[in-house]
Order: sequence, then structure tokens, then C-alpha cells
Amino acid sequence: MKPKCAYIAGLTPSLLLVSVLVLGSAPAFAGQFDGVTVRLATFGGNWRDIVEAHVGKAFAAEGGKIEYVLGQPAQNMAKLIAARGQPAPFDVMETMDNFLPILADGGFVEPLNLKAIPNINSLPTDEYDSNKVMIWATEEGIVYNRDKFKAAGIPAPSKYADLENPKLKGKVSLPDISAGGAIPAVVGMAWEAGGSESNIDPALNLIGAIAPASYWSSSSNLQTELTDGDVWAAAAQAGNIQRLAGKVPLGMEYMPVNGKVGVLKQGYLVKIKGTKQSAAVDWIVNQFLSLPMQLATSTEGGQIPSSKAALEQLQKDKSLGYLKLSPQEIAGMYRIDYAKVDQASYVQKWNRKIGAR
Amino acid sequence: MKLRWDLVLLPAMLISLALLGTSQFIFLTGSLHRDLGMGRLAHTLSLDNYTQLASDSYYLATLRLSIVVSAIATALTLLLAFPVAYIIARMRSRWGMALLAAVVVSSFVSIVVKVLGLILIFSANGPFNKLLLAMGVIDAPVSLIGTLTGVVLGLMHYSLGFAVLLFYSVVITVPRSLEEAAQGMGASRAGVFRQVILPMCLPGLVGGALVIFNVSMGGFTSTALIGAGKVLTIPVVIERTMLLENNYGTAAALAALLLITVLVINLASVAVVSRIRRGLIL
Amino acid sequence: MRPFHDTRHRQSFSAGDYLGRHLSRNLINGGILTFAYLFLLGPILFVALASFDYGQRAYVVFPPEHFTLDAYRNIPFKYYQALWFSVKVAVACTVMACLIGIPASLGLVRSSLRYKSFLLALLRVPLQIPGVVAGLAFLQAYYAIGATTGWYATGTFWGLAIAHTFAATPFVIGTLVALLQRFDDSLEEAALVLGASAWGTFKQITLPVLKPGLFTGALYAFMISFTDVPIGVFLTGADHVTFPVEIFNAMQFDFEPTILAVSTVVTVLSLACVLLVQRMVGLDVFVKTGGAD
Repeated sequence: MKPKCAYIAGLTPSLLLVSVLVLGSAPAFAGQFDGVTVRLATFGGNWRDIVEAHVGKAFAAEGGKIEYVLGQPAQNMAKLIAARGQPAPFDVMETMDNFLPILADGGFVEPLNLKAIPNINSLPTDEYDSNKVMIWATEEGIVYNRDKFKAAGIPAPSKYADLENPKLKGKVSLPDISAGGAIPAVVGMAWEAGGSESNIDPALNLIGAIAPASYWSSSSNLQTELTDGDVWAAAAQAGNIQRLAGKVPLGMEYMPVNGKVGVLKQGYLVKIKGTKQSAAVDWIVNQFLSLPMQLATSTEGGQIPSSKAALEQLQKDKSLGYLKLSPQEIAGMYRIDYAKVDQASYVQKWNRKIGAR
Repeated sequence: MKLRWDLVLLPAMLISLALLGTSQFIFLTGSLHRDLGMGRLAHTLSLDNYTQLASDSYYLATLRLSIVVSAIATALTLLLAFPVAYIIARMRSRWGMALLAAVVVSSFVSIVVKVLGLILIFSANGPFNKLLLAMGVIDAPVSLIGTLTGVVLGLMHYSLGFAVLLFYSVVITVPRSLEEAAQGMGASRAGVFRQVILPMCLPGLVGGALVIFNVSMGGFTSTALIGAGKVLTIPVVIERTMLLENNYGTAAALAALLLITVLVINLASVAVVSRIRRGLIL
Repeated sequence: MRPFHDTRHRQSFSAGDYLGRHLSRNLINGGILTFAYLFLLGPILFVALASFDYGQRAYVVFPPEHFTLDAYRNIPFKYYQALWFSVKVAVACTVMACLIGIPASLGLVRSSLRYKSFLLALLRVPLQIPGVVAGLAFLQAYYAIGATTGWYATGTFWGLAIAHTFAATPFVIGTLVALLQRFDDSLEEAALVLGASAWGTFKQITLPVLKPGLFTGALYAFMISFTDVPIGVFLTGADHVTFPVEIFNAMQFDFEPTILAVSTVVTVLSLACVLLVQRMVGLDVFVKTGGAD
């Protein structure tokens, strides 16, 4: 009995110490979102890390937690569709311009409380409404390995057809139809080859002529190919340059598309219908529009923010020379007319042209 | 006290059939509804999806590609697995069991890990290319991703393991003494193989080949990863139609097509094998 | 026709003769075996070896330039979550497959029903259904059931476990039936005649004989569930992802070198599992049932 008592006596101070440490490390005040978990559908790879660093951490400071549902927008869209009739698999979704009509049509979204999103004032009015908020845009063109091009004596690309260069045989990557960057590339190529959003057959022929070595399925996938040295040039967004800065000497060129230069693709946040964390979702949307996150969109992600204040600040950053940051340049980029895009038919045509043997 | 074994069987049988029936019935009826896009299906029954499959050259080409790729993979697996199984079956040392154990172990590693290894081995910076470049066989790295060759290799990998086990159990039924007797009567090794082993193993060989073909036809994981969006066999197209195009009806019709093809081949195999058996006995 | 004993004469010759005659055959045999096993085991070994070089590169270096366990230290939590989920699903699947498979095989082999081979073929139909088809079928079935009953099994633990059970039960049945068909039940009858109870007979005579088959069947069921990809792709939800599906997604969209490390961990665990079974019941039943086909 004696040893036992001694044991317990010895344990008590340590237990006390441990409880003090544990309790002491808890936040001094309860955050407004204590115990709240919000499921955010977003891209994987380093974009997720950027979101975690600038949005996730801030939300955690309020006591909440973000659970990431990772995938390309097309995949996450499919998860949403598959869940029709039952609780949705996430509360807030990062999506792109091409999915907005489908989201509206299918009744998948519910309105945001714009009053709870004060940062909305830094956005141009045409970039948001009660159902969606634009948080970034990507600038699409051709990303290429400057060193490899120089060594092979190939000039920087000035149009998509330049990718047909025999010296680039087996070294080109184009987006797979399931990737986020697919539609900008396809539409851009369509316009160059004499088509448009309503007629992408010229684009598919051009793709056939280029005969890429692979079709990238995600930014991570493309970044692996570029770093490997497997791929020297790809139709993709400028963000890849930022994310591979210091690892691969990438250059960016914007192609002429229907009188403009380069294609702009916009990213949005939407609140999923039936979410039980409505207020938290509004807060997170607001956080995405905060200056640090908007700045990081470029400085870490290589995309362009939607916030005017952030854009102004970034224009002074010399290291972002490959991005078009001035309002005039951005206005000079081509925006896809999604009213004319029939995605289902794009996928069908793609499968037939690219897949069949 | 004798148990009524049929009563023991009954609940288990019912559950199995319920699982089989419900899943297959609902999905097959799903294929009888036209797609309205975005996962919605029309309310009326129609054979539209099937007529579309039959008339669209794209789906027919996909079927042809699947059959060709599976056939090549089956033939190559057969050529590799049968000799290996024969060698192991005739081994007198303990090595035989160890080799079989190695096969069993490899089949318990998930296919994704094996495909990961395959992709990395054959990548531009991988050992395969490095070796060929060093030997001067090629002057630029060769990629297997997105090629038919790569997909065939992936399918071979998938079926090689159990093919060896399957053929081992076939060869082991031929008594060693039979071969020795034939040799004793003056037959050469090649002759023994041709006139003793092959005929006796033929039903098992054919049956095994058909199983391998079936498995290859349904092989999804390795084809999706190695094919990388360029080689589209039926299983990959089913997944893409379902999850990318959200055309649930068409996907179900495609799956039904795959199922029918596989079942037809099974029936054919049973018929062929029994015919061979009868031929041999006669 | 030479007399039989000549074969024995043929075997009594000098060592040099023996080597000469068998060398070419052994070389060929060795060559075939080496090639086949390199092909079969190479990728698994490669993944293991490459996991030890965790550089800042996006590609994998082989042979490893420097040895580091960083890849193992940096494995994201989601893979451990996925592994644990996979184990849980696999255990549920194994239990259910055995609960269905054991009575089914016993009942089938021992009853005096007619059309037994037809029933057996029916029970083994799931073997013929490709994983993609099964996954899609269950997804649609769950969706339809959900629309009528309100219980949506898509993306749930049990939904996935049930679909895996569907795929795995034929393996349990195949293994047990093969074993039972060779079982001599006169032993059981003798025990019964000598006064043992039905349950006692089962426990002391039948079960020990069935044990290897049971273990094998159970292990097969576990592995079918644990390594499955196609069914999981359709039936995993946002919160519950199985390990192979997690790796599958990573390979398609989001490659990171840590998947080499976590894959190696799983390979080692699988190896340990199989060695355990080898210790306990031996691997003969696996081999004899040749894949339970």
C-alpha cells in the first residue's frame, strides 16, 4: 500500500503540470466559430497550401476548422451532382466561370450574405452578385522552358500553332478535357484556327496536329512534367511559373485570341445549398477577399486577384512581370462567352477526336 | 441428428442473390433511360442509349480497342506465366514454394503501388530510359505513358500473378511420372512438351486464358493511370462518362455492354473447354 | 521400345555430363524465372528503394542519391486516415463475407439439392463482374434506394463495405467449396455415431479441417477490399476515402514523393500479413485454389 500511495503522490504534480500546460495553450477567448467545421471544395497541390496558410489558419484562430475536399472543379462538380437529393458533400466550393450556368440551373447554390462580406467593396461590381464572388483569375497562354527552347534554337511561341514545331515533338503537354485549364486552351485554339466557342472542331484538328506527348490533368501533374524535363511547353496558366519559381526556368507567352491577347479564366466561391454553416461560409469568403490572401494569390499562386487594392499593390512587384496586372492589360484579355459553350458536346467531341484510335 | 443443409444454405444464398440482383437490376434499368445531362435521367424507358452505342463509331472503336489490348495482354501473359508455372511445378527443391509465396505476396500489394512503380521505372528520368540511353539503344527518352504498349504492360502486370498460380495448379495435375515415362520411351524434351504436357493442360490453358482475358477487359486502375487520358478502354470510358460527363444512362449502357461481352466470353470458354475435353477423351 | 529400367541407367553418369546436359536447361529456366520475377516484383521494390531519396525534385531518382527517411516523416495525415478507413472497411467486409460464405459453402456442398453446380455458378457471378461495373451498379442502386427510403448509402462506410462484400464473398465460397469437396465426411459420421453432439463434431472435426480454407478465404476477402480501387472510386465520399483511392487520386492529380513512402509501409504490412498466414496455416490453399477461380 505504501509504494502505491507514493506512486500516486508522485504522479499528481506531473498531472497538474500537464493540465496547466494543456489548458494554458488553449486560446484566451472563445472564437466565434468554435467547434465549427466547414468543408471547402478546392484544388489540390500547392493551391491548397496557399489557402490553408491565408484562410485556414485565420479560420482556426476563430476556433474553426476547414476540411478540404480536393479535386479539379469538374470532379467536385460531379460529387455535387452525385449527391443530388441528399446532403451535399461540402459547404462552399471554389469553382470556375464555366460551371456557373450549371450550378444555377441545377439549383446547387444558395445566396451569400453580402453584408457579412465587407471585403466585397474592393471588387469591381461586375465580379460578384449574391450567388457568387470572384476571388481570382488565371491568365492562360503557353508556358515554356526558356532554357530548353534556347538550347534547341526555338523562338518563344507566338501562337498555339507554334507548338507543332518538329523540334517540340513529344515535348508538349495540353490540358485534358477534365482539367481546369481545358476550356481556355480549347477556345483559344479554336479562335486561332478559325473557329469559336460554338465551333471547336478547328481546335481539335490543331490538337491532333500538335500531337502532344501527354494531357495534363491538374497543375500538380503539369508541374511534375515540367520539372521532370518530360515537357518543354504546355498550354496552361501563368501560375505555374510562380509555383515552379527557382526550380524550372519558365517563360510565359500570351496568344492572340479574337483580337485580344491571352485568355482570362475566372475563379469563384459559391455557397452550396443546404449548408449548415452559412455564417462560417460567409466569413471564409470574406477571408478569401482579404488583402493578404489576395496578394498571395499572385505572389505565391501566380494568379491575379480580384481585389482592386491588391492589384494596385502588385503592379509595383517587378518579379511578377510575366503577369498582366494593369487594368488596361487585363481588359485586353479575352473572356470566354460561356453562353456559347456547350460543355457536354465539348467532352463528346474531345473523346472522339483524342481518344479513339 | 442430421442438419438440413439446404436450410443452412438458404439465408446466405438469399443475401448473395439480393446483393447481386439489386445492384445489377437497378443499374441495368438505369441504362434504359436517356440522359438529360447533369446526372438526370428521362422518366420514360427507351433503348436510346443502346442504339447510340451501336451506331456511334466512337463506342465501337472503344470496344475494339479494349478487345485488342486485352487480347495482346492475355497472349503475352500466357507466354510468360505458363513456362514459369511449369518450371516451378517441376522444381524438386524448396525454391518452388518460395517462388509461389513470392507471387502470392505480390498479389496482395495494391495495384496502385505496382502501377506507381511501373510509371516511375519507365519515366523519362527512370532507370529504363537511363539504361537504354547509356547503352545507346535510343537517343531520346521513350515514354510509356499514354501508349498502348504501356497499357498492355500494365494489364500484364495485373494478371501475371494469379496466372502463374492458376497454371501451376493446372500443370501439377500432370504427374511427373508421365513425363519420365515418355522420356523413357525415347521422346525428346520438346516432344514430351508437345505431346504430353500441352494436350493434357490444354483445357486448363484455354480456361485460364479466358479468365485472364476477362480480367483484362475489366482492368480499370492500371489503364486509367498509364493510359493518362489517351488510351481509353471501356472501363476508363465508363468512369469518365459517369464522373466527368455525368451521363449516368450512357455509362450504365456501356457497363452493360462490358458485362455482356464478359459473360459471352465466359459461356464460350465453357463450351470450348468442354469440347476440347470431349475431343481428348474420344 | 527400351525397357523401363533404362531411365535409371540414364541418371548414372559423371558430374560433368550432368552439368553439361542440364546447364542449358537450367540457364533457360533461370532466365525465364528471373525475367518474370523481375517484371512482377520490380515495381514494388523500386517504389520501396525510391522512397528513401526525398529530394526537392518533382521526379523520382533511382538509384537513390542519398538515403533519408524524410519521405516517411512527411507523410500527410490524410494517408493515415485513409489507411485506417481502409482497414475498417476491409475488416467489416471480411466478417460479412465469411458470415455469408461459410453457411453458403457448407450448405451447398452438403445439401442434396439438385442443380448444385448452377447455384455455385450463381454465387460466383460477382467474380465475373468488373470492378468498374460493380462500383457503378452499387452507386446507382444506392441512389435509387435512397430516393425511395431516404437512406443514402453513397459515400458511407457501410455502403462501401457492402459493395466490397459483394465482390469478396465469391472468393470465400470458392476457397471453402474447394476444400469441402475434398473433405471426407465419413470422419464426421463416425464421430456422430460414436455419440458426439453435432456442434462438438463441428468444432473438433470439421472446423480444424476448414481452418486453412477459412484463413485463406478471409485473407482473400480482406485483400480484395483493402486493395480495391474501382469500387472505391465510385463509392467513397468526401470524408471517407480509402487508401488505394487516395493514392490513385494523388497519382492522377497531385503527385508527391510521400506516396512512395506510405506505399512501402503498406507493402511491408502486406508482407507481414502473408508471413503470418504462412506461419499459421501455410500457403498451400492459396496455391491449390489458384486464385479461387
